[in-house]
Amino acid sequence: MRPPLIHARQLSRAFGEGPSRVQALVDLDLDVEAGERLAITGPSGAGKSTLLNLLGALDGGYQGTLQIAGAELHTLGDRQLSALRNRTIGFVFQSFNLLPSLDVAANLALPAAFVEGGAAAGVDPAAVRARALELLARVGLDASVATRRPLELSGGQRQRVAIARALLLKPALLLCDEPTGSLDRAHADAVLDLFEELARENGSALLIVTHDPLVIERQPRVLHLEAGRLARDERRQA
Amino acid sequence: MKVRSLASLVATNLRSSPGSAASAVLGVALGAAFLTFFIGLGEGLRSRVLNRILPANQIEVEPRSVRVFGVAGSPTGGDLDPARLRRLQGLPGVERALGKQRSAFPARLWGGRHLIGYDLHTEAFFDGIPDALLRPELEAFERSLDLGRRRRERCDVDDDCPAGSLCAEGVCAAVRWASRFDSRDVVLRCTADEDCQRGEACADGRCSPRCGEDDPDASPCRAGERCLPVTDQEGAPAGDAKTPEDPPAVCRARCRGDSDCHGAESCDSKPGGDGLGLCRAVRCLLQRPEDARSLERGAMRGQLAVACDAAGGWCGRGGGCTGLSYCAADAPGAVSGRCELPVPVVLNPLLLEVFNTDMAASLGIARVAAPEALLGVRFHLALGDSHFTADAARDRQMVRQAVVVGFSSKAPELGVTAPLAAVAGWNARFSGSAAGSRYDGAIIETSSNEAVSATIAEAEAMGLELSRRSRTARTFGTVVLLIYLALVLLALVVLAVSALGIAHTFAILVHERRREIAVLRALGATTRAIFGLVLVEAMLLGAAGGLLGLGLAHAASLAVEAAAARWLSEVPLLPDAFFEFPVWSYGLPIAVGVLFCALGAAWPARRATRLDPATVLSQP
Repeated sequence: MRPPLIHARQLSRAFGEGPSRVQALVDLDLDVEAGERLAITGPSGAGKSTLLNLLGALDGGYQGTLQIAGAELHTLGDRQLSALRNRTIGFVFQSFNLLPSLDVAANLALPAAFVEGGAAAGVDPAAVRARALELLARVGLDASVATRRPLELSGGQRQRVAIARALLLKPALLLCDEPTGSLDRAHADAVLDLFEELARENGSALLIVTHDPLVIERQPRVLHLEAGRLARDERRQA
Repeated sequence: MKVRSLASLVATNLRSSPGSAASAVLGVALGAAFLTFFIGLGEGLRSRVLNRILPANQIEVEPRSVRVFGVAGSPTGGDLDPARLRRLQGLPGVERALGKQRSAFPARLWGGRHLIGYDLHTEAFFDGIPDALLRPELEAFERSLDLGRRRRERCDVDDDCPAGSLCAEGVCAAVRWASRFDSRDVVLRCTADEDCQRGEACADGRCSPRCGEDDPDASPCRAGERCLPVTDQEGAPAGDAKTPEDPPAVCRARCRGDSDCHGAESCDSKPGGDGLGLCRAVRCLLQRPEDARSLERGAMRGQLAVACDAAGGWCGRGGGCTGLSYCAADAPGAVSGRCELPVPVVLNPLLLEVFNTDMAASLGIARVAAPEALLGVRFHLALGDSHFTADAARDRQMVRQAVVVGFSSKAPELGVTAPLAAVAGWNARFSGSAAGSRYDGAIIETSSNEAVSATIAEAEAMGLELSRRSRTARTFGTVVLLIYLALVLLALVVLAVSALGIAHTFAILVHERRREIAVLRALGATTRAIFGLVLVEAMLLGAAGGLLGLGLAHAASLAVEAAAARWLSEVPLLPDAFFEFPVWSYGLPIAVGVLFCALGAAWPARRATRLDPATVLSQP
């Protein structure tokens, strides 16, 4: 039997020391299977972003157990953690976080720059460029956009570029932080459709941190966090 | 992280912060420019000034002197003879050891009428130095004058041409005077073997090296020479005391034409058994005995002569000594002689300065504006004749011409330097054959600068000591080196300060780019990749700064050279350039710029790796 993509037990995270210590996440148990889609919701300060950072292997200061793709994050060094973020996890940030000094093509290709082994690992420049253009087309952007800088694009276009970048190396886990936060309803619907479709195509698990009821409504599983605890793990029929 | 991606990111970062990049580059450029400028100046001073006096791998030793009540003298047995010179030559690390001699006979000189209006008379002191030691310096000096590229004036005779040039095919052509400092062109006349050095015999009126298997003082003949018995040679001196049973043999140059002969000799038209002729002196006749002391071209060249009676008389046959040669009388008061080239001599630049600064004003005569005005100037030497001491026997005295062929700091401050062969020959003629083979000092060239100290110790163990010139040169060298090091240290301090500037600039850049760095970490960049990204960016700025500094330093050096050429042109015998940039000095500022920038950026780069991406990305 394959282990779950995410396996967390008694997962806790605290910040600060002494009287100023804040317990952001308390004894959270969670399993997420490959290809599963779920939304994480809750009020501000409930621990959503903390959980997202832990699941994205960006924050290693937790207690308990946290395994991604079978690897306990505590036991991984910088190189292995970086490789995990690079090959297994894709991020779509709320503010897109495209590098303004690079054009769209370079932003898209950025994850490939950090693949250990390069061409030997099956990531050669020509393949990366072809995949980037394919993804650009897939997210509904013209190839001419490739040479433009992020600041020359609209918010929706930047969001699409960010989605394409997250999918470049076909990650098993796609983490999204308020992906529709800066979009109007029509665009939000289109982006969600795209997200779900691409995740399905790639076989990626999709975790979306959101307050948006529309997003929550579309996900087959919803985790409700309150004061750092998992208040409800709601599963729906597809 | 792949190099191409790293380069792309670095290039993009540099483009995105042009102000910070420019300030960092300028700081490094300033330090690198200082460093390169001082290295160029230091190396220039060392090679063009210090090395002219005595190169770092050369020392001059002489027999140790002891001082008793302020009077210096050499202890018995302290002579530097050929055997001790060979011992010096055999020391480990010694490339070559060359003996030098001072004159051990009275002499005086006069000349200068053509230059300053009347003849200056003075006692003459000679230093004999091997050709090989002076030739490179003389050639470098001549190159600096750039004689060959000067405008060529039309002429009919040599007198139409300025000093230092001769009329050839209707135009004045510069004479390559440096090549004239050649002992092969020095002919030592004799009437008996006693006039020659040990190992030489008098044949055909000139001292020649002895040869032959049975001769203990013989030496092997050089290429192009043949060992011939003295008695076989035409014109063998009547005074040769050798018995017919034991005729000495000497090395004589063989020739196919006049161009194979040195000095003013010509190739004998009667070939020997091997089809080659012998190089022989060209006989000449002066019109009057006084012409031996004339520098007028017509008078001093005399006319060519042929034997015209059985008693050894000579008759004129027209023409005269050609080229630079003159008719040197066989004896004082004689009109018969042989065509000879003037003895090439080298002067110390200090002599010219003393003349210009003190003598010219005192005597009310014109200064000598440029050293090249002295090149080719002839004067007379009266060998064996003195203003102050007893003269040599009259039949030993001789009057010869000398010609200035260059300037060297190795020449004595008061005196003239001639090829060693000339001084050794004259010493033998006036002070006995042993004097011709005893050296007053030796110049030792080591294979490396590091071998110098050990060689000095070995020489001291042999009863020798450094000459005053060598001691002064070493002291001057140490002072120059200390100043050089201090200036280089100053440049390194400037670079260190610029490295602090780099550290500050990159600390700000890292802070400004913390979100970018966090995104890279989220996308899979390792801490090592982030460190490399910052460091490579700094190193590129360092390389750019180093390159700019290199350009600035060279521009500044050109400006200094131009200013010196304009404002110091009146100062005689300044080096042709003050700066010298060795090959490594082109790479050093870039390497040092890269190194200091890497050092400066190391701490900000480390800080960049410690950024917590989760915290940074959580910030709005």
